[in-house]
Amino acid sequence: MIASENVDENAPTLKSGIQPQGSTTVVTDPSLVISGKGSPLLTNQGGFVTNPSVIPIGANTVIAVRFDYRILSPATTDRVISAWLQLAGTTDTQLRVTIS
Amino acid sequence: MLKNAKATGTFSSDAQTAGATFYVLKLSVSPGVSLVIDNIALYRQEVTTQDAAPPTWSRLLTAPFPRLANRFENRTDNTAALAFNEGTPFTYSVEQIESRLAFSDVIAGLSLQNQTQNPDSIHRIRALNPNVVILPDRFFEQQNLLQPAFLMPTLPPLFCPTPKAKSSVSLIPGGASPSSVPAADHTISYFPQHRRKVVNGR
Repeated sequence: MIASENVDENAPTLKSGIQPQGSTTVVTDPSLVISGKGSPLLTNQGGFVTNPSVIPIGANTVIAVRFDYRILSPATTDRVISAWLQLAGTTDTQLRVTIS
Repeated sequence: MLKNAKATGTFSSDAQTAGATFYVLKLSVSPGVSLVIDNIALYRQEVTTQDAAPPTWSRLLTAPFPRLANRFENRTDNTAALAFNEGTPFTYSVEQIESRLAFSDVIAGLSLQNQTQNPDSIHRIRALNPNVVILPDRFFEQQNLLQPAFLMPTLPPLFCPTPKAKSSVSLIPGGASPSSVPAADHTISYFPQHRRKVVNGR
């Protein structure tokens, strides 16, 4: 394991290795929290990105992501989430590896 | 995660980076989605060299009969989302497909893409059935780094079909037209060391 985040240590913020993006927030409402003190809530195309200075991801490396989830509002498109490995410092879709 | 995933559960997936020095992992929800997540974990898969048959192969020898095999092409996530030639997309979830696959003693035909773009699928299947033997699909054109001739959109004149006897079909754009070379078969001269005999377009 190279990184983990259960939000309990730093709630209502995340550790420096995982940075929230867009409208991602940390909820502390017990009816929404999956476990512990808080859980990230991803809405409106929000998400997170890893910090390459804290979680370095190098070349030719298999990286796995795993998390517990609860869908509050389902997808109207084919996917609930999209995940990918992006060349650091870029946004070019040609420079990413899609994670299914 | 596809739209027909369970409302609650554990999601896992992975992929292999390419050759650049630094990558970041990004994740975002689709428009309209509200998703609570927790217990996020990132793993790096350590690569080991394997020069012997996997132990699952020898365990298969002692598996009770009937031994079940399932030929399953492509990837479980693509099959769930696209259904290819067999049904309606999103009829089955990835979890349902993998649970059914894991019931087999042997799974053949999975795409090599799984190794770099979806290896967690293999992990999930093996977690359900640690003894499963998985044989990926690899057809002979994949042995070459060169794209096979019939997939090349255009070929330079040097590599156009060389009429061997007579030809009734022009497989390659820019090649001989049916009317100019009417008849039976031809050989595609792709590279001298890689020749592919083509008969009646097959």
